Amino acid sequence: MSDAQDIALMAHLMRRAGFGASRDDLEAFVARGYEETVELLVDPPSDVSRADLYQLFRYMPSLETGGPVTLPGAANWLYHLVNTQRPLEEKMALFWHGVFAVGNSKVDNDNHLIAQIDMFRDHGTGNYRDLLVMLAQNPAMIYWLDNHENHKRSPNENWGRELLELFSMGVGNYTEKDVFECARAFTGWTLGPKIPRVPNHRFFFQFEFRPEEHDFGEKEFLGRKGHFDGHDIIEIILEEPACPRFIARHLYNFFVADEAQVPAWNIEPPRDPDAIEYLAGVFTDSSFEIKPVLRALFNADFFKEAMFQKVKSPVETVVSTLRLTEDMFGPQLDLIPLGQESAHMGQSLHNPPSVEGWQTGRDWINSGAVVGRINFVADRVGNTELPGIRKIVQRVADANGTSMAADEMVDHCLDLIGPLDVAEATRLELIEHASEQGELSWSNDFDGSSQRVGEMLALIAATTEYQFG
Amino acid sequence: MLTTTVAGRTWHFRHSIGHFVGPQGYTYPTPIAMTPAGTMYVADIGLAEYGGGAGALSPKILKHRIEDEFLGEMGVGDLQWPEGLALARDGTVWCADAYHHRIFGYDAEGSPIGEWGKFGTGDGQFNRPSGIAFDADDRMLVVDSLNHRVQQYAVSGEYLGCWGTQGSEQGQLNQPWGLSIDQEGCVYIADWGNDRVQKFTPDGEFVGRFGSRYAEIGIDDGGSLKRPADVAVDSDGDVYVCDWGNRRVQIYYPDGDIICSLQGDAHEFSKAAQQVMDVNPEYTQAFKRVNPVELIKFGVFDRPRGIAIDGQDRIAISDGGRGRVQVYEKDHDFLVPQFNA
Repeated sequence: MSDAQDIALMAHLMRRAGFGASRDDLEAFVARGYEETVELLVDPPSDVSRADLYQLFRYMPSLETGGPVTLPGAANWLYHLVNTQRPLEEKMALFWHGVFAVGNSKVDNDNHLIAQIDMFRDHGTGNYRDLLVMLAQNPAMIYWLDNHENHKRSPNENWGRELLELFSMGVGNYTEKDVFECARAFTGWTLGPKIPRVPNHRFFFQFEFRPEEHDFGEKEFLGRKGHFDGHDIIEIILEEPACPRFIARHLYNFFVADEAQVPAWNIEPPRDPDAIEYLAGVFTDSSFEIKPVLRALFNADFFKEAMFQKVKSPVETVVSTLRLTEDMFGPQLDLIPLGQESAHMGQSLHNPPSVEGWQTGRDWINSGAVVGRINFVADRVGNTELPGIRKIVQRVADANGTSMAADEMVDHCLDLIGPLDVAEATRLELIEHASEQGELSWSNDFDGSSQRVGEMLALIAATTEYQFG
Repeated sequence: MLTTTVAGRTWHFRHSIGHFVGPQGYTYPTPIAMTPAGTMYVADIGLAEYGGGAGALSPKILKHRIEDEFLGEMGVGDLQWPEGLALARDGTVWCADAYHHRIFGYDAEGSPIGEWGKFGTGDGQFNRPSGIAFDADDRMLVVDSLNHRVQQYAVSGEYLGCWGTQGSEQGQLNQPWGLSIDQEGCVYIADWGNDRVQKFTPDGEFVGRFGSRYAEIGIDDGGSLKRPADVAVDSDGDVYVCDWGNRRVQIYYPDGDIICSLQGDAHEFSKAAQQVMDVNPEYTQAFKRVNPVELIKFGVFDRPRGIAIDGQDRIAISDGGRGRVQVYEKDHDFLVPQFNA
């Protein structure tokens, strides 16, 4: 493999398992080796740190406590996303936020959304069985899916249904009776009354098991009979082959290539059935540990061959841009509006549109969202004052210290912002535009040449190809 | 009355002041300064990140009597991240704003009387100024947090000097936050990034430390600190530290040994909070449904951020995450415990 191919593959890994990387970092990762880099992402040592929240909360305390709207919570998470040295941890938190979708539009206590994302961050690469139990006892989820209204004498099926339909197996793998029996097993898994938010700010609900509300009777669930409770239900779900396949397909959709939307999965076969079977097998063999599946996925050929097979999500777009440009690395007032940028593009953190999460892939692109996305990226990658862009400019300049033809500049820009392959017609249009001002002269007009590089990066950000990750 | 008695000393919880957001309420109270007679100035960072402005959520300084009488507010429109607050001998009020890298001055009624400072690393420049205090010679000491040093100024803004270097060794500082000066002129600095408080002579010579004194030899005496925010010294020389990261207030003997912790005792509503509850009966009902064990959480500190002590050893602690100030009083009639030979 050539150096350029190594860089391209590493950039692919970092886009998917993280939020991109600078060229300096890509070169360092290539020197480290692909498999070792995968290992660093999947199982980072303890001295590879998360974002320093103390720094954030010292100056911006509201970002710790949340509120009725998602402004502080989204900014809190954006700070994590941009500053972490453990990007896969954040990526998995985002993954689970999309699969186990809970929205503050109903919960109305964003401190609980912050806590739920913390849970995904802490346990999102741990064991899926443990995660399901934590989820079933998570106050935000209980409130979101009404399990506090799930009583022995009047079961509420909302949580039970979504556990089967959206969180573990998918439509077509259970019956309506299974839904009802599942709901019965989770009766009494509820919330204790919490101290109200007035007059001294928000407190937390606590999970509470109320025996008097729990249906201890016999249930029949997925062909098994017994006096099941929620723990038993989760164990039975994990015995079903549909479960690892369902999660494997989610992982494939999130990390490898865009799949059909989730509600169509019972009628649309997977894009790569062999890949799903392979990942499901690893998942089962590892007793539902998540790290082995991620390790297998990133080292698989089907992953390496899937460059630019996914439309970047709004969160990926925003975070990768901020990391590339090094535009935001501390507590600062514009964290709040920055936290809403992905919402303007269709992905509001802490507020997925429904329990199904976001529709992904090409559904991210519509006439309003695409303009917002391109403007956000172009404004930043075209700003040669930003540290990350200055580094790109310097690399372009260093490639030829005196003068540079327009096509050479375009190719360097495509390389350094990706590497990104664009259609030849697109490349020629970029060259035609760049040629209007003739050659770049780094020795005579560094600032002017820098501006032209910034302008070219902004144009590249507007290409169709750049919308894929 | 809630009391904490340890080693012959007793602290009585008196009352709380304020509620979260609203007229005469706090949003995120930060540092406190207090006159010897108990007139209290409390900076409130508000919801500065949402734009500040002149509304109830704007950063400002609120003025109260410690007995809970609201006296007014100041600094609206000037402040963004008020990180330090001090009173000069002439009654003027001085606030360090970490966002603007600037010191703002007001008379006791809140009229602006001066401001200075700009971003930088040079003499007389700041990178996130934080705690401030006046010494006996009326010099203002300013913690220059991200420059990891303490600067000295005249009230006029004239730069007089600085001391301190970045690091974790004895006497070095790492993003220090609040500071206080005792009756002997010694300077106590909440050495935030090093999880300790350090005591210095007026000229910056290291004297001692508070927090995890014995951690290096593996002994946990309960005196550890996590990202301390502020410090104050009472008339007996006992040292109080807002243990912001651990959500408590640590109290130390003058030599650095731990005496006890205050966890927060505001289990009753403040006067202002009660007024809010009186017009929101649904919240009163909601309180009644909470079980007693859970209710304990209502009174405890959530990110205690600032502390000040008046001439009667009344202790005001800004309870950052709860939008209130908790007031304690130290009982002076304590006995030195019997020496156990």
